[in-house]
Amino acid sequence: MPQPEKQSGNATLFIAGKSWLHRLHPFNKLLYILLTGVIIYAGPKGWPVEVFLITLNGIMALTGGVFTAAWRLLWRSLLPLTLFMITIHGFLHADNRIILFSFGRLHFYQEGFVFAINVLLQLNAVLTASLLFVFCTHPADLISAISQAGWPPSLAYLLSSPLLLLPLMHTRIRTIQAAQRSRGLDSEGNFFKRFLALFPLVTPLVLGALVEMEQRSIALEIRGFNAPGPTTSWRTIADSTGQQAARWTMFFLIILLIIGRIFR
Amino acid sequence: MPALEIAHLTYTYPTGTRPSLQDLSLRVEKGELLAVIGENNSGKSTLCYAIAGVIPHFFHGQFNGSMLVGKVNTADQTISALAEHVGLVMQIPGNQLSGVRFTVFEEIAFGLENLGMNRQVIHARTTAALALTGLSAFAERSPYQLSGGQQQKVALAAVLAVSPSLLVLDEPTTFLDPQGARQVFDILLELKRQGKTIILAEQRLEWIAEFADRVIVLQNGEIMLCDTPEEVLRHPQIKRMGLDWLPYTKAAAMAKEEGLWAKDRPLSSTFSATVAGLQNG
Amino acid sequence: MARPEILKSKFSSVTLALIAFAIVLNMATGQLVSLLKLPIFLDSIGTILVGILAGPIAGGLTGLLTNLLWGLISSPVAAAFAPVAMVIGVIAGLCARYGLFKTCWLAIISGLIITVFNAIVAVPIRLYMFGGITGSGADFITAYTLALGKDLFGSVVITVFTSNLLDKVATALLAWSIVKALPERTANRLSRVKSATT
Repeated sequence: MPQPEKQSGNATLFIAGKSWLHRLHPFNKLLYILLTGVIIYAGPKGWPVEVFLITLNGIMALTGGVFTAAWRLLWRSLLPLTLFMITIHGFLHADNRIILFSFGRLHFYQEGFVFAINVLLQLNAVLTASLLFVFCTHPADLISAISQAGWPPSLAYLLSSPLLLLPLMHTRIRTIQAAQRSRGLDSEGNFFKRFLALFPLVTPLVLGALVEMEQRSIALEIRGFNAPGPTTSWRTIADSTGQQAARWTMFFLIILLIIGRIFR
Repeated sequence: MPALEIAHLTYTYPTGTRPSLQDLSLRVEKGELLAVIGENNSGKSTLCYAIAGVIPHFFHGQFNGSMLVGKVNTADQTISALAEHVGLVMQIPGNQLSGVRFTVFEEIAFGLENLGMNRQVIHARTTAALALTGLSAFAERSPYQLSGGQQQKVALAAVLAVSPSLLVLDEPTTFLDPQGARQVFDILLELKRQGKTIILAEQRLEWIAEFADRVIVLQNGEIMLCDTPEEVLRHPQIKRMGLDWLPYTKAAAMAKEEGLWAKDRPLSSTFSATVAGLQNG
Repeated sequence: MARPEILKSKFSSVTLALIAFAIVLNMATGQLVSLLKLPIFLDSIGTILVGILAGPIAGGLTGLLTNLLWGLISSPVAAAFAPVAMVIGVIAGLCARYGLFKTCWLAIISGLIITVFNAIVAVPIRLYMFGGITGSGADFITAYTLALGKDLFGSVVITVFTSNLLDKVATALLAWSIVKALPERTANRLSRVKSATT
């Protein structure tokens, strides 16, 4: 279970810091993820591109002070994937021809292995780019950026409110679980019994929260959330002509790559 | 001009079988602290919601009569537009947080942002609201990691920052511990001293006996009594309205039975008045 | 600007609070039912609920945002499946619109329909982004079907279908029973409830 991050007071992976990556406009980091994805899946194919991007992201993570965190998360989320990927494709991929090595009657093939490595490199490139955003962007900055760009306040609400409410929900669930354990919830019975136990477990949680939901929406209304006039924003996101230029450049690159892909 | 004027208000919830407020008329003067008491489901929350425009704009239902906050007719405004005129603090502290701001400072500034205030105004008003509620040290903390009492003060500060002409509080201390409740009451007292108009629905009669200017008792959505706290809280009928005398009133009544209370002296409802009555009995 | 009004006019503050709450529910319910050791995740319970209560657009938005936020919370890998979560919400909303959440049996059929559309979107993502493997227990099914001589596409289709069937049907049933149990006061506020279930 992800532990609530002390500095941010919410459930995200954000790591507090003052590096250039932290100060970068959130949209620049988001567009960079998109650009990486488009290069990987629509742009020039081949491992040199992928290795280059992964190295670049690694260097950026280092300068942003989030390399260790990124390294750990990569291991955590990619290790099982890597093991399954290499084993399954190495042994079972449909195009397998050239045997690399054998365990008795089991053969490990080159084609499957190359396929697996290629998929993993592609994933790594996109994942590392995403981590730069996730680790170095406070959710409040993302939400302010969205509001400042003129996107609807309801979108900002839908992005921030779940992050702030999730830790409360986890606490509530732990309470329910403790109560169910002490009452001897049937977690050992047969499948059908356990399936039926689902209903009394989930329904009260939802119904209780629906009443709360009503109050939260009233709270929004009485704070002027839907007030008719123009709104202002206290938290401002630093931006610069350079960053704006970078955004446009990335945007056009993405468009070019997609057009290139369509007419290739 | 009164701060609030309600005329013949009758309201029924969409799923209600009988009105939750019945032919209710009320006038509250500027600077007055009016307490609203009554048993559960007597209409206290409904009245608070109606003043803030949550009724009828959020709950819909059958709404008759008129509700004027200053010059503003609440029926003609949206709830959000009314935020400038009426501030509402509700019972459950955590449920009043906006869900869009990550620090106490920004949570309090949220209402001002929605009303389009400029940075100087936001800074000045938020800082003042933080100071008034004693939250200055918590400005950069997450409001979701505060105690219930502190969260309720955030809700109060958020309302005060907008500086509405009328402050409505719906049992703000119900979910607070005694210390949290006392802090909220202390802030209300300071606001009263500053001349704010306050409408307070509350169960803790002791505080009302001391500090309210006027008390109304609701039962089944009707105003049963409307008078000074002394008169209301020692009223013989109050027990039929789901309320009870305070211990001080009971003590005075017992003293009267024992002949320890001057015959022509009315019963008291505060500690000091009871002590004075016993000394002169 | 034109786009800001799209959402603002579309959703009331109640719908907004409902979606936000449903997103939290998607993320947390799995933890709640982990005690029961069932082979289901229930990570689309909120999405399907919103689909029934507030329609396909709100349902789709719930699913989409759940996975995007999950990307911020646990691992960006979750964000890759955001389109899948979105389709679940849209389809649940459409099922409700056409009366497929009126009875227990119809809810099971909705669960089946959702499973089909889930596969239609999930299979290409699994295939092209993940080479058919996601590092979960379901990979054993893929390995098994590959070993039986099926191609990768066929194996992934079978995997996605079998690993989601029970979960989606259980989720649809659960959502149906919750909507049935809604207090009148709440149901009244969400006007679609009545038309969806009676």
